[in-house]
Amino acid sequence: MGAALELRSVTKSFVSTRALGGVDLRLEPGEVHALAGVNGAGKSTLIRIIAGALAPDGGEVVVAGAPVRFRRPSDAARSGVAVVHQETSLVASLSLEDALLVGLDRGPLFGLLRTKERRARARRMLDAVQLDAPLDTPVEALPLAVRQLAEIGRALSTDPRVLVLDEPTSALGEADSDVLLDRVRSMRERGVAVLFCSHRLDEVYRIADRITVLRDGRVVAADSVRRIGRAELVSAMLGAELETTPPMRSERSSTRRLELRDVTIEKRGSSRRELDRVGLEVAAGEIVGLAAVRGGGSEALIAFVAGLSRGAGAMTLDGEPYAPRSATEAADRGVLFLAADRRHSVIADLNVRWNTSLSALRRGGRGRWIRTERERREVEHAAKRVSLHTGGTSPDIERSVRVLSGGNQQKVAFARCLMAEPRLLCLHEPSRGVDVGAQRDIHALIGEIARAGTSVLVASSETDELVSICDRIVVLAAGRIVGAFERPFDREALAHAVLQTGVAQS
Amino acid sequence: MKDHLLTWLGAQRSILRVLLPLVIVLVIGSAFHSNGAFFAWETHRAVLREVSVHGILACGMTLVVVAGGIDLAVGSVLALGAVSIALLTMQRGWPAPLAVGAVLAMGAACGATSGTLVAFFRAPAFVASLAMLVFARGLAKLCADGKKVTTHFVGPDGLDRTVPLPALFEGLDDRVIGGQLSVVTLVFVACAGVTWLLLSRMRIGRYLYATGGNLEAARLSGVPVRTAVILAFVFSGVFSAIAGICQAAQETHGDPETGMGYELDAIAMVVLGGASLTGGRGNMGGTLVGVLTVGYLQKVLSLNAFSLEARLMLTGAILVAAVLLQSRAMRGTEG
Repeated sequence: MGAALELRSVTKSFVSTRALGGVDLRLEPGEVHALAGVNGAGKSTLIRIIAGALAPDGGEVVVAGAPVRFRRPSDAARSGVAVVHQETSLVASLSLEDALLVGLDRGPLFGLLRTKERRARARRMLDAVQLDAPLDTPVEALPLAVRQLAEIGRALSTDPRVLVLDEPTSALGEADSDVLLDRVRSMRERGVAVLFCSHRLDEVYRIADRITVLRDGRVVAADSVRRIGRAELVSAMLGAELETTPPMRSERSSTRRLELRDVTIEKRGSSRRELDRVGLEVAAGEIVGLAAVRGGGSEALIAFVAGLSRGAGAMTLDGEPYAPRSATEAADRGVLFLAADRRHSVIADLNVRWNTSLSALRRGGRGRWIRTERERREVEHAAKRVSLHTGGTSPDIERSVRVLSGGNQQKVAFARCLMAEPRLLCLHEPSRGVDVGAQRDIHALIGEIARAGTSVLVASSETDELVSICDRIVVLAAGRIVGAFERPFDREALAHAVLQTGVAQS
Repeated sequence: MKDHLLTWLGAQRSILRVLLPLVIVLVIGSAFHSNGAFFAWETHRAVLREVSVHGILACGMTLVVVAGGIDLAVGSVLALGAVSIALLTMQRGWPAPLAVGAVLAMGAACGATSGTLVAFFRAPAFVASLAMLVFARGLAKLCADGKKVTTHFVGPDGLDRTVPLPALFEGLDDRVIGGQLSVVTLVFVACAGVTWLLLSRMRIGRYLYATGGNLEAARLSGVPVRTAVILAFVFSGVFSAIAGICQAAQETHGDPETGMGYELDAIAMVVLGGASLTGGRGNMGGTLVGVLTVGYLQKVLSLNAFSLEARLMLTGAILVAAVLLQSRAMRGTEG
């Protein structure tokens, strides 16, 4: 029997990095094949190539024995490859029926819709995953699990040979995940080849027949799941460089900057909590990392500290009660937030100078009036500190931020924070999507900011990043603190703590 | 040297694009000068006087558009201001400073209402200010009892009365500097000056640009985005009320039907001035050019004896052309 899908030494490079360096992958009909790897290992690139959203630079994609060349996602769909992406793609405002049938109505533009036929078709999609959901309810009113299953049902309605599930359970609770895994098993029985990507290693062991591990764009392990142990899997994902990190950079200050006590955030419409009785202390000048799988609570925690969400519990900042109701109030107290998404950290329409001074405008000593000369001086100083490159020999602060590279945009965001002289900086994925050089600059900068006395909270999904910049790393899962690590970090223990707690705890 | 000139020109490109429509209008005016009437000083003085009321509205509109909103209520609030000032000074006999203060407060309240709906209740600016447009027009008609408010009225004792035109009206419609400049034009220049200060020299200006440029990024940077949005609408309301007082002075009465469609003129002026309706772009200098462009366009058309109907149609067509030119310029700077 031939493979349902085969990749033969597929390569793909982006401008500055090689994402895939010759990947082989073989999916048999009727198997669940897990794809594992840390962030940046090349999983998403691989999935996008299989889905037809990216063209490989080299190598071959073979579907049912015939080499194919996908130019767009619809090519992949025609060849029998269906992909369900991590974020649900059903249009939220439509009824479930309409959302499922988007793009599938055929016929003249002003022809009447065949209501009965449409309903039956939508019903068949839900039947494929044994889901009984109200077809007239708007998608946004449905639970995430139902949406996720409905989307898989839609993917199955094309009767695919290959089904790719990208983190299908990341947004689901345990019970819902069980239902989903159950459906995946029944697909296997029908002879579908399933490529299953999940950060939750427990699920991988429960459902997968075989596993392929990617690291730095290469296959580092490919075997039957039964023959590969959990510890072996983690070290394959992380690589051999499990060396311990250098000891702490400096004496830690004993001044307590931030303290959280019993912080709890309820999740709307769910019994789970985003944060569950979290207590944390951060010293002045300390860099504390927050590690968690997606939804584990690290994002919720820094958002709460930065005044972006409300919850129960108490916080103090430099010994005084601190309960910000907005980012503005937090900023007025010297707590700044830097968003992971660059669209939310800089304002592309404005120039470097305006972006950089934005957060500092409310600092003491500045009135309502803008003093351009002083502003220029301070912005230039901040731009130098973050080693901003705008093309010329010295940074041109009048340039529009839109034309800068991603790394330099992120440096502008850092310059904005520096100029406001914060007491505490909350960073979310500080080096996401920037090249290696800019990443090194940003890491050095974070250390420098901390040495100047500013405390830093970093939430990052990249354990490597946390290990290289933090004094202390706190691991969260299901909204609770489940571990704390001090320098020198034991990478393996850390990775275990982060990955194995990925399963929702009861 | 040549390189320097080119870079300088490149940097000024957006300014040149804003000036181009005005230059075209002036060139056309010079070509079809209607026996030299276009070159007479009186013509230019008249243009300035005629655009002043619209220009005042455009000042407030600039602030709102920069903040990423739109204020459709300016024409109605103008009418409400005109009716109120006439009622208070002519028929109630309030002293001018008190009456002006009350009318400005009324304008601020209208703006604050729209602004609050947008900032706190997440109503789209279009909808919130459309509601205010209808409401303020209704209120103006209610206050005026559906008629023009003039110096000739029926007193509380049921007797017909005629009072002299209040000094405020005379003063505003007067001319200064040897009769060369209308006072209303000075009011417009003052409003433009305040707007320029707000946008270019004050902290609130930065907040307006940041909010309009990227609401979420501004919020996360600690910008008080709600305050910024509300203040933009409040200024727009106050400027509309000022424009209403000027309009009443020019018409020597308070007409509840006045200012119909002025919001579209004001938006056109702001967009011609290089502002982006998606927010974050625009400035007072550009709006000034936009105000003059629309003013001269009207003047050139009326000098050449186009009928009102033809003028409306031509204005619409020319505005679309100018806005298309602007949006192409926008793509040029981004690409």
